[in-house]
Amino acid sequence: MNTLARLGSYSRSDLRSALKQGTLTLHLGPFTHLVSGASNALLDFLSDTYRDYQVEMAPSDVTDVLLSLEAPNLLRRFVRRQITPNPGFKVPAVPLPIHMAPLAYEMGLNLSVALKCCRFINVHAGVVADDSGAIVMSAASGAGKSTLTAALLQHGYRLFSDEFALIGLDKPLLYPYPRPISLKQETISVVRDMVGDSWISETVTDTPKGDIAYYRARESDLAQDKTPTAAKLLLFPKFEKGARAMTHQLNPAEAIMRLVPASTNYSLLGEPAFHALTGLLKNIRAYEITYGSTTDSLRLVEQITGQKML
Amino acid sequence: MVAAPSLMEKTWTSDSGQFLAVEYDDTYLVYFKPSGDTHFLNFLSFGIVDAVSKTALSGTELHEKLKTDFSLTSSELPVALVTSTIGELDQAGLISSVDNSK
Repeated sequence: MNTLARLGSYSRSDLRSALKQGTLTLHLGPFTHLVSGASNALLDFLSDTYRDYQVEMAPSDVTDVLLSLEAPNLLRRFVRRQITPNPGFKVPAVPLPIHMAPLAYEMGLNLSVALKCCRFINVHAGVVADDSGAIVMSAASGAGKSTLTAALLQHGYRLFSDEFALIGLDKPLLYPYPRPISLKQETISVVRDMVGDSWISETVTDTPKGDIAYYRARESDLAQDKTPTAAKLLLFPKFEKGARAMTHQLNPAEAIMRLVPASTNYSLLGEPAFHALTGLLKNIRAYEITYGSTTDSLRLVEQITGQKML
Repeated sequence: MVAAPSLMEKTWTSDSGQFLAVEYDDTYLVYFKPSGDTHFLNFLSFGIVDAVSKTALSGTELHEKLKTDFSLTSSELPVALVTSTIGELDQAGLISSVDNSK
């Protein structure tokens, strides 16, 4: 019988062996991931950033995501080593230098969930929740979603996801998928100042996305990764340097029209996805918020939710 | 040679079984099953789709019905607006013209 344990409870040689044999099974939220890859950079990253996640050392009965990190060809396995994510289907992934294994791993998981997992409607969004429900934050890359997600975690919220709002197809609830928060460029120092150095992974420099680091999920976030919740607020955050803090309430139909292109599987799922999004927005408000600082963004959330944070 | 009927002369219809609609503050979110597309319609556009799903109507009849249903005058609801809206809804597939020659 397979047993679940914290990844950090296994020795480095056990982890290396499981990764090499393709038997490392990561359990997170509604998904089971079978991961393989022979790279010290990947091993270092998982040992640090994923230390509190639940894993098995043998394949599970049911696997949702199969991710192999491998060299793009034989030559690049030995000379100027490169790595690329292989989620079991063809993806437009550029081979990366081997020290960028953390980025290849996170990209591979994102592609697998975005393009292959259809038990939920997936919307590109950050999600945090407290006892009164979840705040969904949908934004384009660079709009400040990850910083706001990290900031809300310092004020009583738990992490659902920095990448995907997973919305149930039978009930319009949000399901947690608390992977580490991906931080880019200047966001890294902003979040490091906010949460402390020990929570941030080593920075992977000069990647195609610039410098990247990851904010580790807390044990308290992971402990509730099977507990879905209803949404209480939908935000479209927009960070602009020097901007005056502003909120603009959106008609729910307009908000849904903005979520549709942010979903990776809305068109594939069709009618159930329409029901899920209209169900999600049934009793909640949606706002576009514009701000020039993290403090302003928290003030706006305070103002909208009526919950004191600062 | 007979000129093709204009959008206002054509008779329009829609199948209510082919779409799902949810109302939000006088606007409608409409999921059209055959295309899988979701449309954001104002009250006038949805009024047209809804009206022709119950009875096939010509553009001219639609114009009169919309004026009555929404208590609008001809200047508030010009023919040109109805014509362009019919054209857009036809393009999206939400309504279609009835072929009277059959």
